[in-house]
Amino acid sequence: MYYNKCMRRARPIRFSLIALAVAALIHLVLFSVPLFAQTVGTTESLSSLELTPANPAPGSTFRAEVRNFTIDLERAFFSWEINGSPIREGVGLKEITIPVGKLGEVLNIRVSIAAQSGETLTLSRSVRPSIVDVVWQANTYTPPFYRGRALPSHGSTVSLEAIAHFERENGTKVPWEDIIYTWKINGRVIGESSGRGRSTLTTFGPGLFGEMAVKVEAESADFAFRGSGTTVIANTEPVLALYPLYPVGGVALHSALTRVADVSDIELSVSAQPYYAASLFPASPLLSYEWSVNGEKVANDDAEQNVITLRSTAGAGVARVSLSFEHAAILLQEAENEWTLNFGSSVFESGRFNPFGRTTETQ
Amino acid sequence: MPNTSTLLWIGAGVTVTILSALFAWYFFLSGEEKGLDELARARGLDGATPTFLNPTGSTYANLTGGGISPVATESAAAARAKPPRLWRLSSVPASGVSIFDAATSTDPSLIQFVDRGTGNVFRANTQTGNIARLTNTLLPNIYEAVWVGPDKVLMRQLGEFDSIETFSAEIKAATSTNLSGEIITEQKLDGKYIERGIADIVSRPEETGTIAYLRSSQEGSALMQSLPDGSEAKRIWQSAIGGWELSWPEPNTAILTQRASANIPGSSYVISIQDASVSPFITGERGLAVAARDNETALFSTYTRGILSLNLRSADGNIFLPLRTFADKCVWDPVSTDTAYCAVPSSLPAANYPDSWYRGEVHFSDTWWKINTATLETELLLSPESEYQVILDVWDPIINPQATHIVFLDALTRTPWALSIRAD
Repeated sequence: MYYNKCMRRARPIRFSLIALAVAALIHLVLFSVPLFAQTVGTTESLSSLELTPANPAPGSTFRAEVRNFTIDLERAFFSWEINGSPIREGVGLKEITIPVGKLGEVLNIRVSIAAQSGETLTLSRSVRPSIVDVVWQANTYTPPFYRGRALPSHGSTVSLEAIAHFERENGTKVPWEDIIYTWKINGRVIGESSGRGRSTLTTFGPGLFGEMAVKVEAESADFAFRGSGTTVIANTEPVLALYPLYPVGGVALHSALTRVADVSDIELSVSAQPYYAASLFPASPLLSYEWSVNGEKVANDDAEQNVITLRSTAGAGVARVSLSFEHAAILLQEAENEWTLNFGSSVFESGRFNPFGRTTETQ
Repeated sequence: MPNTSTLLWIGAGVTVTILSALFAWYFFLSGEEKGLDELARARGLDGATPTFLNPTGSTYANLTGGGISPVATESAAAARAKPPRLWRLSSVPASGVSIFDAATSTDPSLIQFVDRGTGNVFRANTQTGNIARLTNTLLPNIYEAVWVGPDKVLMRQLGEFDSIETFSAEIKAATSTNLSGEIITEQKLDGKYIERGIADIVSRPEETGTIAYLRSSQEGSALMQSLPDGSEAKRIWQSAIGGWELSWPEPNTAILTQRASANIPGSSYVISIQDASVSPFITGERGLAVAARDNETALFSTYTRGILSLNLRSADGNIFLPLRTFADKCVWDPVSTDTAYCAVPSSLPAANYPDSWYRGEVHFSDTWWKINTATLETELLLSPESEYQVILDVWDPIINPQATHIVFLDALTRTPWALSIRAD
């Protein structure tokens, strides 16, 4: 009985000892080999072929450099090959500059090193040229048919898109759905906009007088391609421009009124265009305009606040037009401008007549 | 009872008074006419007031009035003269000008343009100099017109909330009977409005008969291809952002370029019409504008640190050219493929380019240059200011397939012009 009791108590102890021994054996197997390698090491495991930049663009160049701490690289003999063809060799030639081919052209780089001690070493890496572009546009107003970029003003948003050109050797391209994007603004990862197929980002633009750096890192889902693109976006102040508005012909968006302009008529309708304001159209209720002519405020049509008709009732006269706007919802998104319009000015007598009807700036 | 002498004096007085009143009325009317001229000039319509005495009607006189040199009239067929080398086609703003070659090289090329105010279509004969109105269908305020062929044009207007509306028009012959019972055949514009919100449209009238356009929406923009009336539309490519400029240098190649701004890097991409593949064309260039010959070669302008430069992009790389202009002012010669023509500003006032030019705040006096892109030689072709005393800021130049003429608008007045580039 006693024996049996003792045996029952000893069985878990024995089992524990066996388990301990097995664990010790597993530990020995798992961790002793790296320890051994770390202690003794091989020349290959302590060597690397570094590329700078790591993801070179097509048509550019990159630097390939051998790093090793066990052999004397300055006295070693190097033989460099690209896609099986020797390109350079020499003593101490531990780094070279290599031109990158076209998009999708893979470069297999191989370097053989013969150390003075007789030791030999071969390293190789592949380079797949790739491009990751970041394109953007601010969500601000520009007039219809305007060919310039919409720029971000204070409080506006910016839409960005990453266009990754990952081309395989057979010419096919990795679709954007199979690419993992990581967006960063000023170094901070934007987690909610990053992920597989998340190639677009909409965010608030830079603040007043500020700028922001947007970076996107792209990697194909199969890890074959990797690249990144960066853009810097600066804040812009809105621009108020004034254009003649004709009953026949519409708004002359091609011909802004200059700061000082002669107007041969005694009446002129003008349309203000708030470039880079955060609105969809210039007469938006979000924008509040304030006009004044010769120092006096002028009321205008609420439905078309950006348009006013100026009439010189006494014939010839000078109108000093001031205009400002502010955004109803975005504090400090505002702009102002001034023009001096010489109404009824005789362009023939002043000697500034231009046969093409140009309004001429006077200094 | 007044005597005869008194009656004579009264009669003479009345006559003098009436004559004086008539003279005063004449001078008053003359003054008013001058006022109307100035009014028209201020509105950019600086042609002379029609006299209604011209045998071809007032439209013709209105268009050609004040031209830099006389042009032939329909009634003076015997005295028809070749148009001047630099030819102002109209003194009133136009919204789009293009040129079409005849089936045979002996027949003249025909220039067509749309009157901005009325939407009327005019045709100019490059051999005789005759200008005739083709249609009188009223379509007011045409901001932009894109020609799809000699009888098809896309007219672009502004709708509610400044949205862009596109009217696909076809010039058709229509017969009607007048009050005298005579049957009259005239041309009119027939068509329909196609989808709204088209940001940019291009066509290749010589080859495809189709149009390519950029559909703009809250979701970004889509590159579409369709027939000119909007039917059979298919999406080729989609972008999450707007703000692209579209060109179509080859039947199977579209080029999309980000809209430019001073000192901001822009990129340009080649889009295959067939398989929608996207390839980088020119990337990361500040103030980038592109005039592509094909999917390998292009002239492109950049604006970096206050310097405007023109460059050649080819399979061999990029080469700086010794001309300072915008690629928007350049066309490629379709016959001599290593030749391009560019209008080059004589001077560039201090401004942010191309923004200030696009906004219409700055205008230039251009000279025309010929560039041999194989040898990189440049040759002055014409200086409008010194040879014709005309200031021209070239906008939207188009060259005909026979490479005899370049037609364009003046950026400031939007008047249409033609430049003959043939050597003879």
